[in-house]
Amino acid sequence: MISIKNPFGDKKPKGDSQGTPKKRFRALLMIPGVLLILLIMVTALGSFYRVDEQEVAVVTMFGNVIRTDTAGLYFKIPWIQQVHMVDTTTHGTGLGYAVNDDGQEFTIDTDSIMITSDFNLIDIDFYMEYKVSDPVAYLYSAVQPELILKNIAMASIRSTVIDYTVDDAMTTGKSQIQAEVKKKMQDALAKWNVGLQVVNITVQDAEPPTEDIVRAFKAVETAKQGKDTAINNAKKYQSEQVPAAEAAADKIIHDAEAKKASRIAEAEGQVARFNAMYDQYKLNPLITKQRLFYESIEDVLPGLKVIINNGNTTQTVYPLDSFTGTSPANTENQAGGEQ
Amino acid sequence: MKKTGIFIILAMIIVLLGGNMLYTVRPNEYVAVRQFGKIVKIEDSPGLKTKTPFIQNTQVISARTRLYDVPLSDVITKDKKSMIADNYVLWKVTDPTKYIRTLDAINGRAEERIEAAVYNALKNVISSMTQDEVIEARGEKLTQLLTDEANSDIGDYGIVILTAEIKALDLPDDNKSAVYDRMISERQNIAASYTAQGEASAQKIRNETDKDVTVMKADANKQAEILVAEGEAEYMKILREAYNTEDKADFYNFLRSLDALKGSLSGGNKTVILDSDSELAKILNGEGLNQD
Repeated sequence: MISIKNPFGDKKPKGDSQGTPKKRFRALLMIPGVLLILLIMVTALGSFYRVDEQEVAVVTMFGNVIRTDTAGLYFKIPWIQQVHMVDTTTHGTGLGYAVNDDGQEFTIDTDSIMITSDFNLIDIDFYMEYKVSDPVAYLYSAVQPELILKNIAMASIRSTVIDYTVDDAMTTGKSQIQAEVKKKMQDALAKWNVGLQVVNITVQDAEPPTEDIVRAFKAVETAKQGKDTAINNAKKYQSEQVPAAEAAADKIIHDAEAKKASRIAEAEGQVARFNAMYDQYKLNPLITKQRLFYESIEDVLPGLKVIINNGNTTQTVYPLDSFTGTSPANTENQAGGEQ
Repeated sequence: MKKTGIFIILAMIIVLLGGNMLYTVRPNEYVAVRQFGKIVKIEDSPGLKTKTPFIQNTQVISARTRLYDVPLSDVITKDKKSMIADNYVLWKVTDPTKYIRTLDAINGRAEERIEAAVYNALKNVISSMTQDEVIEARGEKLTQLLTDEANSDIGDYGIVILTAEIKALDLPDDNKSAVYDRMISERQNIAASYTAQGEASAQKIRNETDKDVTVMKADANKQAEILVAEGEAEYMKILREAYNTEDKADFYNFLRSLDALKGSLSGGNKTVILDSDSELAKILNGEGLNQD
């Protein structure tokens, strides 16, 4: 037996390679089947939603708001019910200034410079913190609720600051201004019900509008200091002069008292000496007198020129040398002419 | 096969039809149902609603509160001072039919009308007040006036102004520089007055001090003189009491005259001329003092 091989190889007829028409149909049917499964999966996933701590979910069905949900995992009817997430964290924004991409603050003069009660101008910035208070109102009550909030804020700020003088607004009035602005904003927000509330609003900077004016304000502070310094210096002068004068006055009085005392002592001394001499004198008055006289003469005669005039023209001059013992002038006198 | 095809087509038609028959109204919305261009119904409560498919169509108009930041406008006060007003308006649609009819529900047109109404109202209100009054009056009353006046102009459009608030009333720029200059000179005055006050108070303190010092010294001197005088008086008294008998007094005089003698004759270059009768001459002549 000889088998002849087909030089072209065995081939199956074309009709057989893809199977029967029935199989084809089934394959086609698989595609929508897969899609259907996908659809079911997506639907299933879409019927659960998770709400984080910082969110609130507003669920609507056919336009109606049916509920709001806080944090947790929830179920909704797919396709028919819709979930809108609302961020309920606190946001902050500057009023009168903004922060650019580099983190630098720059002032917005049109927003921050305003009139004060004494017709001056002040440059005052605020920082406002706000958050959603009513998610449903936030979504449906107004168009652009944040922008409305900002405008309410600007109006409240201006109408508050205008009641303060520029000095008060820059110093002691700040906390009051903050409280008033917050109150006005709360009233307005409650009235218009935009679903936002102001958590806090604080004054950032409050200063004069230009550098020159800042300098002028500083000059006032310097002058105030200068006034205090001048007064203190004068008081220092006073606290130096007065004690010194008191001391001098004291000395004057003490010196006078000393003088008085010494004068009295002098008198007492004199009296004591006199009394001593008097006691002696009393014992022997004449002798004492003579003695005293001689002593006095003794003291002065040596330096004295004495002329005795006895009525005649001739005069006797006693030399001053010594009186005791020799008396040459004596004889001369007698010779001169004794009465 | 044919059945499935027909079924699919039918299903599609139903879906299409159904889809066009239902519409939802969201919260705070008006939906105007129009048939052949004419408004037949206004729906304003949220929910799922029905309409005639294809023949009727819907137009959504938001009923939400809207913000319109009115552009800056110049206003003149009663006392001819010019100021720049910055307002904002909160408004909303209240009558969608009118809104569509008069403004074709176009936001921009509504804003134009509002701006005109507000500007008019602002002019009227501000021109009846002086600048001082304007700055003092800011607040509820002014806002109410403004809002009411503005609303009176836009009643036909189906919208209402909830509030027309003055955000800011500013001075024109050249006024601003004038204010800055004034602020600077004001501060300079205050600084000068502090300095002057300091000088004056300091001078006063100094003067007081000088006066007190002078008075203290004068008082001390006076007292000193009194003390010295007392000392003298005491001195006199003591001596007087010491020499209070005639005998003592005589002796005292004797002693004093001796002292005086000594005092006048000492020192050199003195000459004494004595009468020969005098006691001293007698003594010098060898006679003693015999008499007292």
